[in-house]
Amino acid sequence: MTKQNAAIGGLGRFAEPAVLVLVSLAEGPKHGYAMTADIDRVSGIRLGPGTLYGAIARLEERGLIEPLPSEDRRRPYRLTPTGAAALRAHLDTLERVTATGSRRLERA
Amino acid sequence: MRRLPRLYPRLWRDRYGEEFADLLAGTPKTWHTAADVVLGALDAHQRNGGNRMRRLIPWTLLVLVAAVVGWLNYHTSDDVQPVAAGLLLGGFGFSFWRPRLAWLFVVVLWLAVPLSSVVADANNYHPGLTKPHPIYETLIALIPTALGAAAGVGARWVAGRARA
Repeated sequence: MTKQNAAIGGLGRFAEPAVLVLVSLAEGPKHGYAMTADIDRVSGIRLGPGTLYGAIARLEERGLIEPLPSEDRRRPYRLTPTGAAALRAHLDTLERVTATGSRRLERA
Repeated sequence: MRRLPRLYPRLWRDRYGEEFADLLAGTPKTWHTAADVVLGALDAHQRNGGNRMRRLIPWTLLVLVAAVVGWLNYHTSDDVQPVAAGLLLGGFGFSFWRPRLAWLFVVVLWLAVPLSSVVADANNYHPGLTKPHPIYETLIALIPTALGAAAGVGARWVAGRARA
């Protein structure tokens, strides 16, 4: 497991919500509400507030995302270079797994 | 639903409270949302309080060891070896863990002896003894406690030198 993959893999049950947050922020900075709506649109998964902020707190702690100055009560977050690298590594792994799985299914 | 963020630890609320409340206000109020927030609060407590809990474990253990020493002393007859062994081992272990606090461990562990003696006297409970010994005699319990603590500090010092 690469260092970048370990950054996400070590998030336990928050790994999947964390990846969704990173994917959402890859488009640009967003606050919690915008992230929830974007993730719902992209993946069909509606993250609850507790799950979303559990993931945000972990990602921020690991330096994968960072907060920007707040707009009223809403604080936007953006992807850090470390976060972008971790997301890239994770997506590369997923692509390899997807390709392998698809190939094996075709042969079966 | 508006009160649910109060379930989160204060430190967490100071950091995320406003934005979280804002998001919660715009989220459909369902049982699923409520359960998600409650589980999130439990998770935040575990993450924020986990270190505090871990720090408390040795101190809880110290109180438990002192209680065991006190219990042994309460039931002791003229054979004080179990009490001395408890003081020696307790003094060693805790002083090895935190050499700088060895003096505190000696005091806390030793206090179990006079305190349990006072309780035994109050209950007139003196198994195997014809009469209670004076409380000041419990000062002798300082010897195994201090010896154990000194050994713990010494062992820690030696371990530190070996690592360096």
